[in-house]
Amino acid sequence: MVTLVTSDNEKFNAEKEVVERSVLIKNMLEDVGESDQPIPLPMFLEYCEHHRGEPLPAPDADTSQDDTRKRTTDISEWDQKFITVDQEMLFEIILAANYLDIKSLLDVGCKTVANMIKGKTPEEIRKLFNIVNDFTPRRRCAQIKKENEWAEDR
Amino acid sequence: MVSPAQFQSQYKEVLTRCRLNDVPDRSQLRTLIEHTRNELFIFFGGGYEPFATLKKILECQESLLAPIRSLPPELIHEIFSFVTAADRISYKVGSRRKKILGPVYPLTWVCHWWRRQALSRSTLWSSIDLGIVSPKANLDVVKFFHDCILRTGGTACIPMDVCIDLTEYGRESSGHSFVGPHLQLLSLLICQANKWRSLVFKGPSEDLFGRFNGIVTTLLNTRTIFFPLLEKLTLSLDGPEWTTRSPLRPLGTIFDSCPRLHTLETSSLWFGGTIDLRNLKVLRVGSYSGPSLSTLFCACPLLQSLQITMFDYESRSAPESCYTHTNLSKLHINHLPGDYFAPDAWNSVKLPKLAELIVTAHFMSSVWELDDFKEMLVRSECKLWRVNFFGSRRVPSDVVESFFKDLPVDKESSILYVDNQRFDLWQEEQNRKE
Repeated sequence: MVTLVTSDNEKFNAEKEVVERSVLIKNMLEDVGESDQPIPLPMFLEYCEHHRGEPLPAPDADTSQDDTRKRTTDISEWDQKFITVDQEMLFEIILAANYLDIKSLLDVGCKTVANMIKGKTPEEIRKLFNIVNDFTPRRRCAQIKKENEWAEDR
Repeated sequence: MVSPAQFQSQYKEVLTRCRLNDVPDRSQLRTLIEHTRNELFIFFGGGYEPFATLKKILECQESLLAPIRSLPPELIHEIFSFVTAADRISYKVGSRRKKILGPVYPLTWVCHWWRRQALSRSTLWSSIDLGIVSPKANLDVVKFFHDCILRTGGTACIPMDVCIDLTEYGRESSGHSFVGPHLQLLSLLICQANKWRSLVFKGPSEDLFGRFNGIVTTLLNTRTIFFPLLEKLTLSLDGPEWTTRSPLRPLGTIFDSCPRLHTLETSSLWFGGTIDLRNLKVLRVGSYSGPSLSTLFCACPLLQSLQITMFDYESRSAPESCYTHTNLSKLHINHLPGDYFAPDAWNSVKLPKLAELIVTAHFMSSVWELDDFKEMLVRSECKLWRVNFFGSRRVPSDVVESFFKDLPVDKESSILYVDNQRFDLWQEEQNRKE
């Protein structure tokens, strides 16, 4: 068992096999060895517990595998439910998955955002993520306007 | 009182922060937002000039709080990659649809920060389809597409996936002249041939492919053209394969140096060509012409999967000794009746590792002509674990059954299909006996 401590000092016990889905934690455990020393990390046990036993991505996965992985933005039903959170939480999950090096969770988060973007106009995207249209000066705006006439999403 | 100029300067500062995605400390930002709201309340209804500026300041400040702004560039890129991966950037010069298509474009029009991220990532621009219908095109769009191709990274070695479609070229234009702005686009793509990871070339005739070959050779200005990254090559000439009895020879010599080529799809393949097939793992060929099938297998020792429709002897020499290929595990025959596939073609090979067989029968009588092939399977001592027969609508059921008979399949472990539906040969036989 491993003890994880959240930033607000809450402690959780979890099986090593579950938390080792995070490459960061796996490496930390390898560095620290078997120890009673608590590891202060945020919680992703639910996700890791659900995906326990699934093969982890090979560390030396080549670029062609990476390209194949990116060709689909399909998300499993359970993952979809797990990631149905408000935007603040969604981006926190993405950042944490990146920090903890949990590739599959990072993919779920990024695919969710990609699916939110797909098929939307720039104005709709701005509205969705509260991004301000900051194209200035006029020359740049004119360029964007022209590009709008020459190209489009399919 | 704060002057209008001070508000303007404040606005410029916060706008710059937005453009650079320079997000200040969130608690500090919340205080600033509160302060701006108070000021807006003071100026509300007063008709005072800074009201509009204050509104824009507040808009920018609130935008800086947006959760998506917390992502670093590499994660924004990861998301953009998912948005763009499924669809390529596609432009058909001279077609009725005048615009360039691509999911990457809206990403460049959202805000300054996203635009910078999207333009600086070559991988988002590296899958390109160029079609040419006619040379008549809007020059502004051509110029813009030209710029987009340059976003693939100039000399940086980002692998490119390219499709050149000349299928419609010549139908709407007079002649096949490669003169005009469309040639510039073609040239620019060809000049990046050393970055091609995959190439699909679609054309209407051998003649046009010959011209394309000519352009490649001229532009690259070298006798030996080297495709160091090319892994997958698809050469597709228009029209059903079996309409042409004598095999075409579209490969020429330009693809001789492709050390990484593992997948080749081509309407036709002529053994007299000099393309290096030593590393090939997947070959899909409509029409193959050569001294024998064994010479083809000999040239591709690593081949794992072969799909073939037609075979004809290029020049029948003395009978060759039998070649045993020890890697081929999957074979798909598009079987046509008559002499589309040379008789006794399979006599010169053995395929002991063959495990998966797909046969597509195009005409009713065709399966009767597979006896030589079935003999080869028995001689190879292979064990088929999966066989799929397509074409049951064209072939009577007893003929289908006779096809499965005598195949080296195992009653316990092999799975048989007819048009993707499980087929129980042994049950069928039992039923017949009863």
